[in-house]
Amino acid sequence: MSSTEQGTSSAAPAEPTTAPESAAAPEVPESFYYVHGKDKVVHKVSAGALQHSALIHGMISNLGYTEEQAKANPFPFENIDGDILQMVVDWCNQHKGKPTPPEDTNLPKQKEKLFDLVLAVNYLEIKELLTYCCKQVAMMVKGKSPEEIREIWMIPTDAEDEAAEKEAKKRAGKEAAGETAAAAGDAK
Amino acid sequence: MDAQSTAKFPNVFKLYPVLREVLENMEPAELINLSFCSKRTLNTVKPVCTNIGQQMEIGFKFDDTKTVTFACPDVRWEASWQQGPEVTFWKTWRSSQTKIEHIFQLFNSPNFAAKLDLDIDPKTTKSMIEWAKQRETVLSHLYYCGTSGRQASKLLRTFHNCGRLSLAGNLSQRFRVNFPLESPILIIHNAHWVTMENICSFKGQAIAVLQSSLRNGNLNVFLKEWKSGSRRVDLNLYLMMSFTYLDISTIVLDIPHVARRWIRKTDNKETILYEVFNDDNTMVASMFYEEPLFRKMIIIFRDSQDRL
Repeated sequence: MSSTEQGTSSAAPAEPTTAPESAAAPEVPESFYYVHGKDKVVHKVSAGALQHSALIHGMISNLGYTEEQAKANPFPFENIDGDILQMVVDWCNQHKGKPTPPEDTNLPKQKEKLFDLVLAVNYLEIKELLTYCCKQVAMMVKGKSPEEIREIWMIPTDAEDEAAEKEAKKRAGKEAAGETAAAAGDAK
Repeated sequence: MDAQSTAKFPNVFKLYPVLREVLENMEPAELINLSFCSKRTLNTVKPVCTNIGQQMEIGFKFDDTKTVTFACPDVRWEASWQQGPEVTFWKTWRSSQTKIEHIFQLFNSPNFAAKLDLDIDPKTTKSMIEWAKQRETVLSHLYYCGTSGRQASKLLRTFHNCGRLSLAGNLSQRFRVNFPLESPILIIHNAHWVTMENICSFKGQAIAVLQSSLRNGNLNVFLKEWKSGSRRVDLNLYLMMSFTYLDISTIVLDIPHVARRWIRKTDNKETILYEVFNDDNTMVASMFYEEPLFRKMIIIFRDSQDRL
């Protein structure tokens, strides 16, 4: 588990606390990187744990940061809530260098949290965790009627879909009209 | 990922890889229920459902439960809905039609089988037959599980273009139907009423006469007559039969020129193939057992030197 600390700003991230230590220390000193979410709390994560994320792994393999540089430049994930990023970091640490089990029962039961976790995991490209999350999302509607599914997954009705489509068209029309007017103004 | 963006139709479903992964982890029954939520969900679910099963069955069990069942035997799943005893057959049928059309559209399966229960009121029966007739080209197999001789005759006359037609119910001892019948494949369970004359005049490719009242002796006489040329039957007719004490060696006991050899069937099991030849060495019929579930005999009528 990584330990965290409230940061002060995204430009000057807070000094992270001690790195997560596995029971058996590796012979070669492991490199660490730093990530923070919307709440600016910086998480120190080992390169081994970050290998789960294709996105971060791709970033760090191209950077060649030193420990100091990594500390000074945490990866900002402003679109991910702090508690969700914490869950992701915890999962990566727990499964560092281990084969992933067929099921993961530690996923959030609350649907909003699960949906947010899915979005974060998809963005960070953590394939195994995405698979677990999607299974969990599918399980939410097992044995449910269409009405129950609609409620659980917050699916709009046809009428709501049509209204949203009309609204989107109206908005697009207005935007197009605005652009035309602006272009005409520029021409004058 | 603010709260507002997840208020309706969560953003997770707007990401194709996520959506696909979620849908692939759902059972067909849940996919059907999801497809009923809106036009959008129907279109979303459709590509996944079209890959599920090549063969689907729709069954109407119109007893007290009034159950409509969709099943896909390939992947062993089933989805069903029921009406209470207070709802009439007609109402059940009318309300089911929309759902059935929806599921047809969803799975777009090239192979649909329908099990009709027609021992109900005439209005519902008429409507169900009309519905099935309109879909005859997509119905690969039509079953009638009821016991009404009138309905059985009507189906035999009405659905001669349906790929397979099955009469599965126990029809009365007095039931008879005028042949020739033209169904490409006709499967008759409880076939006590089917005579050798009926089989001779069948015009399709294959006929299964199961739990027949015919006996080894009837087949023996028939084969001799077929061999001598005094009886006609469509060449290459595939006849499947089952009856009490069925025994091929008894059937061919006093018939000359019968060859026996072991063959391996498509299920990799071995069986003896009996081949009946004419004096000029042309083959007139080949026979073997088909064992799964219960013992059946397959006879293929020939007039050639072809061997299986």
